Parts: sequence; structure tokens; C-alpha cells
Amino acid sequence: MNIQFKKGVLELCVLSILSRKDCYGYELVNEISKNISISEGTIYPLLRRLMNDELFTTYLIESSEGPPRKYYTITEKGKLEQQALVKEWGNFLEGVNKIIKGEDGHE
Amino acid sequence: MNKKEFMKRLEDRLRFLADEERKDILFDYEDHFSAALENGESEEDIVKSLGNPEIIARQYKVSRVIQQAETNKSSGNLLRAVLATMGLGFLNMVFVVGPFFGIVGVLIGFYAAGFGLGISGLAVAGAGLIGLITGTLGPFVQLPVGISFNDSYLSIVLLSFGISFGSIGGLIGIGTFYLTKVFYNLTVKYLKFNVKLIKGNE
Repeated sequence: MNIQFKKGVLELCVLSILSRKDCYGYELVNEISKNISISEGTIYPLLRRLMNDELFTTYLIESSEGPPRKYYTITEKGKLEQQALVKEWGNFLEGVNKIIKGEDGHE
Repeated sequence: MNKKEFMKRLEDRLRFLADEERKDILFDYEDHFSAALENGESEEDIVKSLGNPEIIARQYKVSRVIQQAETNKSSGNLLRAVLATMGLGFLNMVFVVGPFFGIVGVLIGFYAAGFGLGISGLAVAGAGLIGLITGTLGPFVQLPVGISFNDSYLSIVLLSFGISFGSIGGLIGIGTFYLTKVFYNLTVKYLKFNVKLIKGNE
């Protein structure tokens, strides 16, 4: 059984990317799947959920060849959430590394 | 599977949503396809990377159903949310089914205890009351041999105990009611956390 706890981390990834620049859907999906292997289709439900939580909003940009493109932009609430998640992630990493190296916390 | 097939399957599975929302979601995937095709990816590759449309639709369903449980508090909505979350995958099922049904069992137990105490309390108090009114407990109470009480004294005792038990039963019932509310809200929070944390099966 393959245990994957990637979902919690996906939120952190999405918010981090958006905190640097606005992206459209495909761009976001690509950035993420470049570095972690995920089922790309499940990113959109996640985006929708995060949008309902008001972590970012969307706007449309007209495109010359085709339908308008939806861009995602992070909100203040999203930025705060991102910072909180980065901190949590840091603590988690630290903890796991300690266990792997076998340290007991004393230098 | 090609794009048309993928979009059709997705649309079929999203029928439970309002038209507006469904269109919005499908638009996201149309957008994805058009951007990916522009980027030079083949339709086949795009569909493959997106994954199974049934699984995608299930994720939208779970979000929706949890949202409904949050805004419209009812046991039906909560049960739907629990079942939908369990349907996401094996781990989701394991981490949800045990605790949820365990706690439901405990709550039912408390209600039953409260109800039982309440009813017995009423019965005992009733016997006491009848004793006071008619002046005798007669057929209602059999005392062990060798013990004799003044009937009205005993009636008062029964009445008091009966009221006490009944009140305790009532308090348990009320307490469990509030406990149920707390449990409802905690369950919704836990489901959201569960969905966020554990990836469903591919």
C-alpha cells in the first residue's frame, strides 16, 4: 500500500508559487508536476477549495487566439497562510531529519 | 481516452452540482487542455497526466458535501459527508469509519442511559405519588420480609428518588444533546483535515 500524504503539502506548494507571481491553471500544474509526481487533475479541485477559503482570487485575461484565460492571484489571507505553512513544514522537516540522523536534540 | 471522452465522463460525474458551478469547473479543464495543446503536448498525454475523471469528480463531490454539512447542520448531511470522505480511499476510510461510528455508538449509549433513567425515575416517582394520594402502596411495592415502613414515608422516599433519577436522566439527555452538537462540528473539522491530508487511491 502506497501511503501518500502529498495533499497537505500541495496546498503549501500552490500558495508558494502564487506568492511569487500570478499564474494560470496549466502554469501552476506544470510548476508542481515538474518537481513532484502527482495526478494533475486533482489540483483543480484543490484550487477550488482554496479559493472558497479565500486564499486567492481569480481574474480573466483575454487571449487573442481563443477563450479568456483564468489567472490565480494570492490574497492577504493566502500570504499569511503560506507563511504559517512554511513554518510548519520547516518544523516537520527538522523533526524528521532528527529522527533519521538519530540525534536526541543535544549538540 | 481522448479529450472529448474525458470531458464527457467528468461532466457526467458532476451532475450533482448546480449548472453554474459545473460549467465553471469544466471551464478549468478546457482551459488546461487548450494551454497544454498550445504547449505542444498531445491530447493523449494530457489526458494521461490529468488522471481518472471519476476520481477527480469524487474530490469535488467531497468538498461540496462537507460544505453542505457545515452550512446545513443535519444528521443526513453529516452522514453523507462522512461516507463521501470514506469513499476517497482506503486510508480515508480507516481514519474516519472507526472514530466516527465509535463516537456515534457512545452518544447513542448516553441517550439510552438518560432515557432509561428518566423513564424509571418517572415510574418510581409515579408509584410514590400514587402511594401518597391513595394512602397505600399496596400492589406496587413489595418489601423484603421483616422490613416495614410507614406507607406514606415510603411514598415520599419513592417520590424523591423518582424525581432525582428522572432529573438525572433529563440532565444526561440535555448534556448529550450539547455533546452531539460539539461532535457534529468536530466531525466536520476532522473531515476537512482528512481530505486535506490523505491522498485518495489512484
